[in-house]
Amino acid sequence: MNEFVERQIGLRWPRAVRRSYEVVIVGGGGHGLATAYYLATRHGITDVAVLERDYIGGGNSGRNTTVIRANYGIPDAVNFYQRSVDLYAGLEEEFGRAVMHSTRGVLWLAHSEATLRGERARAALNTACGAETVFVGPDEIGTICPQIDLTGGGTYPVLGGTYHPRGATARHDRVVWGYAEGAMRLGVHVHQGVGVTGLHRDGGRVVGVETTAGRIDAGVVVSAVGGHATVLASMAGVVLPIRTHPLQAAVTNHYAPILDPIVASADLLVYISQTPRGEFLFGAEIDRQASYSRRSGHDILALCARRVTTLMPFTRQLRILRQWTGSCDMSPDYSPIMGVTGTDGFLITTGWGTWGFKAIPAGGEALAETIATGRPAPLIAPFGLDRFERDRTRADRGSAGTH
Amino acid sequence: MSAPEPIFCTRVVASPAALDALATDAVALRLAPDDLLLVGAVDVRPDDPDAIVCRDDGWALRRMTAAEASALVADHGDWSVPPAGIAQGALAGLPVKLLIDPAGDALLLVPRPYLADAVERLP
Amino acid sequence: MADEGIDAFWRLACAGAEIDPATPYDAWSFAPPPLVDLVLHGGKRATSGLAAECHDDVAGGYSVLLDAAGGPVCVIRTTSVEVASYRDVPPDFGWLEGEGDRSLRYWRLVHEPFLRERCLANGLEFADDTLVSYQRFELVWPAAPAPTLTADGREIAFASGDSVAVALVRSGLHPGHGGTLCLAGDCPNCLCVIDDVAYSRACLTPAVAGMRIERQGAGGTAVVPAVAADRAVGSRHLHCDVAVIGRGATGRAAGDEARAAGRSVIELDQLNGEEVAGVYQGPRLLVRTPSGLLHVHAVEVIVATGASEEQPVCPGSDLAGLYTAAAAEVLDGAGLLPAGTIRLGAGVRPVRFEGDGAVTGVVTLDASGVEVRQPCVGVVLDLGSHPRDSLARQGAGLPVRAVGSCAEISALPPAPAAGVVCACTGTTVDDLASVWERGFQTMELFKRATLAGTGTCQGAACLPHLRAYLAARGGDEQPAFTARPLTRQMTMMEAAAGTWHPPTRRTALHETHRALGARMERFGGWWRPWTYGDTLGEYEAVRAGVSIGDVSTLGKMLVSGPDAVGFLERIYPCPVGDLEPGRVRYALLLDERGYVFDDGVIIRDDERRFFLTFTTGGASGAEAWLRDWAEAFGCDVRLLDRTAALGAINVTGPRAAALLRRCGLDTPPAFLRTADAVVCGVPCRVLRIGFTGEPSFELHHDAGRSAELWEALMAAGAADDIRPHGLEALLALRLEKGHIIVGMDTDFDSTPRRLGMEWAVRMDKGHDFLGRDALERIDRIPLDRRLVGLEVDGDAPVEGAPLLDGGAVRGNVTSAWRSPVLGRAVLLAFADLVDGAVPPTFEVDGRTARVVDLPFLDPEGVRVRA
Ligand SMILES: Cc1cc2nc3c(=O)[nH]c(=O)nc-3n(C[C@H](O)[C@H](O)[C@H](O)COP(=O)(O)OP(=O)(O)OC[C@H]3O[C@@H](n4cnc5c(N)ncnc54)[C@H](O)[C@@H]3O)c2cc1C
Repeated sequence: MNEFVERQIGLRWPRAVRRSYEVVIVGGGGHGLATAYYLATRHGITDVAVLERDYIGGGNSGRNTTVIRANYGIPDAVNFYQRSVDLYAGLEEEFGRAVMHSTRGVLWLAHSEATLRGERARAALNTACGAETVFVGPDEIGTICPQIDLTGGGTYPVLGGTYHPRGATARHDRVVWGYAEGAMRLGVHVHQGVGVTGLHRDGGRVVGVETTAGRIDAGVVVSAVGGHATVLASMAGVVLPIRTHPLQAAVTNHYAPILDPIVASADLLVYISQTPRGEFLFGAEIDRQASYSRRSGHDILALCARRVTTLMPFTRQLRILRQWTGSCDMSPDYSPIMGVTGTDGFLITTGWGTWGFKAIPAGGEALAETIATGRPAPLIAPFGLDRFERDRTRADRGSAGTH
Repeated sequence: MSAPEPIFCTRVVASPAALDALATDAVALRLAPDDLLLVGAVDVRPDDPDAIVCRDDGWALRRMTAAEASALVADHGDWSVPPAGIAQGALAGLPVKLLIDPAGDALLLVPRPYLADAVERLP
Repeated sequence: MADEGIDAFWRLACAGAEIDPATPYDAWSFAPPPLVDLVLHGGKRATSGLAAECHDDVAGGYSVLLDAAGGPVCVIRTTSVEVASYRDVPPDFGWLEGEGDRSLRYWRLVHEPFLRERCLANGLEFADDTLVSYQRFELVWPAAPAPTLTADGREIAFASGDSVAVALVRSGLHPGHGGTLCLAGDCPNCLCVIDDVAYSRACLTPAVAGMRIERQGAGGTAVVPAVAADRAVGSRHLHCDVAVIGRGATGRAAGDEARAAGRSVIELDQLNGEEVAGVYQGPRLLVRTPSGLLHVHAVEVIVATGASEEQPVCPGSDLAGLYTAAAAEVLDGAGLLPAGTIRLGAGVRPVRFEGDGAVTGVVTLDASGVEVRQPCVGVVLDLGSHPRDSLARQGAGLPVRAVGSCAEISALPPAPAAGVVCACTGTTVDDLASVWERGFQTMELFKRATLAGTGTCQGAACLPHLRAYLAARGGDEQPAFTARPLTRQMTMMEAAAGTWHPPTRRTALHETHRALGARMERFGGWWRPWTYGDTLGEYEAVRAGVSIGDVSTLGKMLVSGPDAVGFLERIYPCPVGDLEPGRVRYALLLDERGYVFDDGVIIRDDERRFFLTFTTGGASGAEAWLRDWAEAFGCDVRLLDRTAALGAINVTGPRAAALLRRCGLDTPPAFLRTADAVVCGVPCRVLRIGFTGEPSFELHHDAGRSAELWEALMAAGAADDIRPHGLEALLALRLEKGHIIVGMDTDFDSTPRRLGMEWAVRMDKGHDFLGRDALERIDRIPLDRRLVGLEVDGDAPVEGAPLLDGGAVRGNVTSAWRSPVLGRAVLLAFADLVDGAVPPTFEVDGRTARVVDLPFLDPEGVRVRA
């Protein structure tokens, strides 16, 4: 018996594409669907379509390593992600569906004085902003996660680190489906296999989209296209400071539960967790070369395996089942870009880079509020596109470390 | 195969034409059109007023046969060794330069800061 | 016999096996000779040849078998000789010959070309009825040991040459816990934990004496051993024109064709222990082999992986006793197919299997659709096959070509009606139905909602059934889900084989520091001495006496050429052209957005020649940065990175100049001046700077002489109690002077203005420079935050501590240190501006921090110029 078969969520697809919607959201990833969900549930706006060219969750939202945490590097980010951590904790109740949310804590290790300094700073700032993160020494680390080789294989000794107890994971697909189900239940149209190929403009304003299923008029068009943000935005005359880089991850076969926390190392550039199904999920940094390619590489797999086995020798004989690649929309300051764009009728949610899964609830909630009220929601106001022009970038080292 | 050990070289950076015209008996690696590495202390004067000629202590060297070089690269690198000439690439994660002469001898150059790693990783 | 070595071997064998040494014997080798290994280690007990060439072979004769070099290996005795047509090969011959997967199919694959060739040599025509001499033999000497392994805690014997799966069947066990055996690597039904490695395909793992096996089976989970053995795994790279995966007839034909065209060929087959795990860009194949990981780099890859037999899906399909036709052939050859096993005809699909654990009956439909039950102890199925195409699909978009049956499209089976569809995950047909009904109706959603196809076999067994199910429900055939590596699971150690952590560089003084008891730390890609054990003492030596530090890690670059000045003007935000030879100028480096990414100094050697330094962390990027821009600007310059070639030792402290005078530097250069000099016999470029706040002389010299210079300075300074200082002390010393460390006191969006370093930028210098446009624009925007100096009484707060103002976070500390000379903590911090100004105080760590002017120490710079 397969206990992980989806037995709760039901997706009631709309029969036909209408020719016009109040809000058209391009991209059926977590952000697009959550935005639709909160528009419908919090603001009563249900004349909404989410257009997904492939299948929902087929982009990064179904390819990530599902780390949920709020231990970021600047106050605006910590506040935002803390909201998301809170929303995630209540998501099963919100949906009435199991999304395999599991609070397990994030342990972030330092193997050098330089990194130790960064981890101390993280703990101090997070705590000041209300996201619990404590600085821990090697002994405490050994207690929290006895599987770690504190000598780092003799070459990367663990000098200390931070522990963020509310760090969590959730099954990515179920998060996506939960939002889709909830939105569709209230009348939102989610269309799979409908790709947006162009934007229609009237004067400066975006008034609709051209799709593989024909033209669709829209009061507002929201771009939530993940790694393809620059392509769509350029159709609206919006230049985004985004570069798309591949990010890879891999998973092992499943094993009896042994590893509780999510463990990351800033010096070794790797992170690993064990899913409720028992698989070990691990990943590292983005590919240096910008690309839309989703072909997996062997080098990163080899590097990850070397790093993980150095940190946790018990993983040496685990078998790697599969590896895959997503396309990450990297912003120059490692912070998201959300809200209005300067082109009327066109909003964006992008810059989620390697860390946007955790942002899905708060991102969707805030973007829905922005659309419904016509004003940037306070939580995301610092993350507007105009910050680059206004010299108000939000450099965040807390997200630069991936996941 | 000799153990890798620090050596000193002579480095010449000059216009490509000046380097082309340079005659020397020293073991020479043309790293780039404008960059020449000579093994040992060599007195050269390229015909370029802006040439940079200096002693270069930045390398460690290992002597081997071309066959040993091929085997080393097959074990530790994802590139293949040309029959003769110069090749550069990563071996066991270390940047190296390889000079193969037609007689079947090979020189492996590793940046000196990686010497200890080379000893450990390229047995 | 002519050969004395062979004769000596024979006499040895006779003594060991109690044979009369006078007995006549023959000596020969197999074609190819290495097959002799299979006699010793692989259970090979038969051979065959063209009957026309084997007249003399009789039962009872002895032979010494030779290896490729003609050396004797073992003695055998022929036990029977039987002549029959090629067509009528005895059914156990595949097994007895011991080659490949020991199937008859494999036997035919290798013997047909061999017999053809022998016919040709004898002027005969090869046909199905060509007469073949089938000979069985026994190994006489050395005697093969009777090997054993442990399965589920119990010792079992096996025959040499058995795979683990066959060894288990031999002892009466299903190698998993049930399910149709394919013995071809396609299904998850024989997964075992083998020597602590779970999810091992028992059918592809040769049994080895002493192995520890636990049967896992499809869907079985595994326990991770708390301590995993550190087994070294080798890795090797091979290069070829054509890599052929699969050595069946199609694959060999493709290989022959490529060879005939003069291309180099590498052939790979799982039957030879070469499991291709993934197809990558290149193309590059990752191959698991018993001796480690193989990287095969090819110009072209030909995938000839053939087809895999369909697995049945119906109630009871997870029982033991079910075999694909190919698996049955292997077992039959080994004499392991139990009597009472029945064979279903081609394409006959059972309605269900009956039994408890093992099959006891099979129900099929007769021609009129009536159920027929047959009792049995085993069932051999023949359900046809589907392309084994996951490697080919992974190679899409690369020069990877599929040939033969792996490239063919097979008809989908009828939609499954009941039973387990995906044995890896335990997904049943009921699960498919329930998911379908809840809207998961496209292949990828279907896969994700059921997890079918996500297990060890990666869909090899279930994909045709999933597609059949979707087609039956939805009316359309949907394509297979994406094929991703790994097709064959590597262990983490295998994946890591041959891969190292990024190396950390060492200066020429590395061992010197270690001998002095330094704690070495990774910093900016180098090992650096963090402390020699007494950071405070090191600090005091600099402030009050004399100390040396290893700064060899600084980036160093020579630039010369007709355009050198113009080029550097465009690189640096400060003026360059007015710099006189012999002077040192501090400079920031800005990117195009006006952000500071590095700093260092500029020294002019002469009109067209400069020496530049960069930070330790910035050095590795500096060369590429300069080269790229020289190219972009079209500047005629020569560039040489001197970082590894030059060592640098910083001699610093109030008594530094005096020490250097004793070391041969008669007139130490004044502040921000440079000179060439011989110090302690070592030629040096001396840079007078002041990072520590005390007179400092950086001695740049050939790295080969670093140790000598260091020792000489230590000796010369002994009277002054000279001691080296580590990085920790250096960070403190510079902080008291308010000097930033790029990367610590900067962010990746720090403009000079945010750092309070507008003085390092000369917008009016008369040259465009990198970042100038951006700064011009940004300068019109009110500043939001700024790096400031703060003082706090008491100990230093944590670096990174927030600055609070009325409970709100208004910035953060970037560096902190309790200054012994000042008696309080000094901090650098980013602080938000309020109404255009930095508030006079903040709360830090529960205390009041006062904003003060920088530097904290010696604002007039009296000490540093002394
Ligand atoms: C390997 C990996 C690991 C990660 N790990 C983590 C992690 O641990 N924690 C974390 O928080 N984040 C992680 N992330 C990042 C996270 O996955 C993403 O930031 C997040 O999923 C982004 O969601 P999205 O909705 O913006 O984009 P996506 O989920 O990518 O959705 C965009 C959708 O738009 C569709 N689309 C694109 N163009 C068009 C068009 N023209 N018309 C119609 N549809 C279109 C795409 O098909 C896609 O479905 C990871 C990412 C990767 C790749």
